[in-house]
Amino acid sequence: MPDNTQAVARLIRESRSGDEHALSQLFPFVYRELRGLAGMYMRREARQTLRATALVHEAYLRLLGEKQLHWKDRAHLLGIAARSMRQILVERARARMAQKRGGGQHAVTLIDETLGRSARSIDFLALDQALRALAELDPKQAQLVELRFFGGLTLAETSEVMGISPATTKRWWALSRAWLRRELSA
Amino acid sequence: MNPKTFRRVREIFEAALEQAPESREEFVRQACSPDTDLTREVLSLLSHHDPDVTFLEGTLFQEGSPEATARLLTEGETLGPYRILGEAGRGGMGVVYRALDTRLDRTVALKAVSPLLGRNDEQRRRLRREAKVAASLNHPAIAAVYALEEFDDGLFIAGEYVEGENLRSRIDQGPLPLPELLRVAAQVCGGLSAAHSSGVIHRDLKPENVLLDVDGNLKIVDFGLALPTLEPSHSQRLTRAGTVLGTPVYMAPEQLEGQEADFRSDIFSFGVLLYELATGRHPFEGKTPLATVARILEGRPGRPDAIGPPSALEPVLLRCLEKDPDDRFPSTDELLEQLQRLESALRGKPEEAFASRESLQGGWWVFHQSAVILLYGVMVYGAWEFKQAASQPPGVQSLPLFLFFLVLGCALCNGTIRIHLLFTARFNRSAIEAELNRVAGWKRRVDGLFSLCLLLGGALIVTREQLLAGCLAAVAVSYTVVFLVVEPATERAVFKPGGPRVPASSNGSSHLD
Repeated sequence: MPDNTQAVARLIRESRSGDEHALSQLFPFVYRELRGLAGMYMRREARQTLRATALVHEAYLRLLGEKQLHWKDRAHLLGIAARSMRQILVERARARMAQKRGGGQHAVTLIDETLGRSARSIDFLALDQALRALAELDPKQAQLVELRFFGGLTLAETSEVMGISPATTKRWWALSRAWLRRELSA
Repeated sequence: MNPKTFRRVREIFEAALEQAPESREEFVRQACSPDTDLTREVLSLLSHHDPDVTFLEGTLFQEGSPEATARLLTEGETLGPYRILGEAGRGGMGVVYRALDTRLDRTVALKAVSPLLGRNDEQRRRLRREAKVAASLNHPAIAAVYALEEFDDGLFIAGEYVEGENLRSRIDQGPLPLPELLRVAAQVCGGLSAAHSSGVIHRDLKPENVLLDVDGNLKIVDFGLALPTLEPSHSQRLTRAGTVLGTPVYMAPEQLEGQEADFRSDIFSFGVLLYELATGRHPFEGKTPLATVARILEGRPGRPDAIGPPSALEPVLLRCLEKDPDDRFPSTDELLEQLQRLESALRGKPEEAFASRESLQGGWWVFHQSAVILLYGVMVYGAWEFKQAASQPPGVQSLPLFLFFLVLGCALCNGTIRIHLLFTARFNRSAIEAELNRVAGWKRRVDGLFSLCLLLGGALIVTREQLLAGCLAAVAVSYTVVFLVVEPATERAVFKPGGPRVPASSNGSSHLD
């Protein structure tokens, strides 16, 4: 893991300074990590409950240990982890669609059973599309949702990661929610 | 809509939220006029704004432990024939109550099965089947299972009530003294062995599941009922970052990989438990639970004797902890036999069974190091001799003296390094590999200089003292061979620095077997 860790730490620094290429390299690391974690927990019969945040933190800790990173890098990584979580859930939803249309018997329902009550009713594919549309109007509004909902961060954590004031975060969150709710109910 | 309009929408939306709810519509109409599209947009957003709904709020995944979802029973409450006397503890499957079975007038442990586990018929069927098997076990080291009860409040397992503490709290008090360790090990293993020969495997053996009653008897609980659960209790101890995600740190590698567990998985968990009892530490301890899990899957266990259990137990421990189930004990009986043999050996001739013996290879290395230190001593004497011989008039005075001090310096320097290595190998074995690497360069350079000095010294007196000169040259040449070839080979053989190492275990473990 140490070599992995260093590679990841380097990639995070580079991607934070705006290197899109580094970001695209970093993503698979985090993604694979989360997939592995999710897989590990999902396989288990008891399907113990887990919080997205805990998962994200664990993935982060596993990748980087505790002292390796500046807090800004950590914030950055949380952002990436949140995006990974979104991707995982959207992929699951897509796989379930395929299954409904007569695909193989994949264990895609496993993750659904661990979803919280409010998340269970959500159509992740539609949410993903709506988020894309929102990102075109203002990427920050979409990022906020990613961090809050998929990353499981609190308002305070979100404002820290995004570098905006808690008050602004709260107002933007209200708008994002109203906007997405309208899009999804349409 | 474009980004520019969106910003405008946001401004008005945010400003409107500052207003009292009933005056918002009026406010928006004024702020947006004369743009009717804008007005419609903001109003529609406002109509979807409701701070109370749970949309996207709350956590993505279910939160809370099973007992949070099960109704807690209070003292005095009756449940069928059972009267609750109090709470006995909380485990991975849920809350355990102390209860009185009024039919038989005996105290039982009543365990609430997590609602997550008994949700559908299939799961209930399975639980019933497993309770039946568990109830058939009859062994002093296994807490008996009496019944699986189904009430409106959910599923409960009634079993033997054991008054005492679990092994976790015993471990927290520090390593067990050897006689007690072996007694505990033999008892627990006896229970395991009995269950295994009835075809029941535990699947979730860990300190929390082994109780020590007031008379010092051990009882394994949750036999065969242990549907794997992720219990936070242990991981909390290991986690530093404040996350309380449970991690199965007692599971065998094959279980972690999602394969079906068999009795050999129990042997692995037993090995972890025993190791912890012996040393107070988890054999695969990592910074985080996940690091621990990663080490269970890939790393080698830390050397137990670096932290001090008796060496005779070590091979047993390490064999339990083999990654490949085929490399562990082929039967629990055999493991039990070994433990019992150790126990009786301790009672009979403790000094023989538990003298900390170096392995053969380790012995060679120690011999090698001691011989080299001795050689240094002898060669300091040799250097003194050639200094005397070369200083005889009309020889040069300063060069032989200089060479003598160089040899003395080299001998002191490398002698100290080797004593340091011997000491490290003996008392701080986990650090030996790092130390070897650290001093390797110095050792080589000083050894080279040492040989060179001897050669030069020999050359100085070759006309006067042929015999001594020849001796010096021979020692220099053979010593060069020793430090360039023989010593590295011995080190490799003993400490295997080139062996299959995984990064996870790089924080200090080496094998000397």
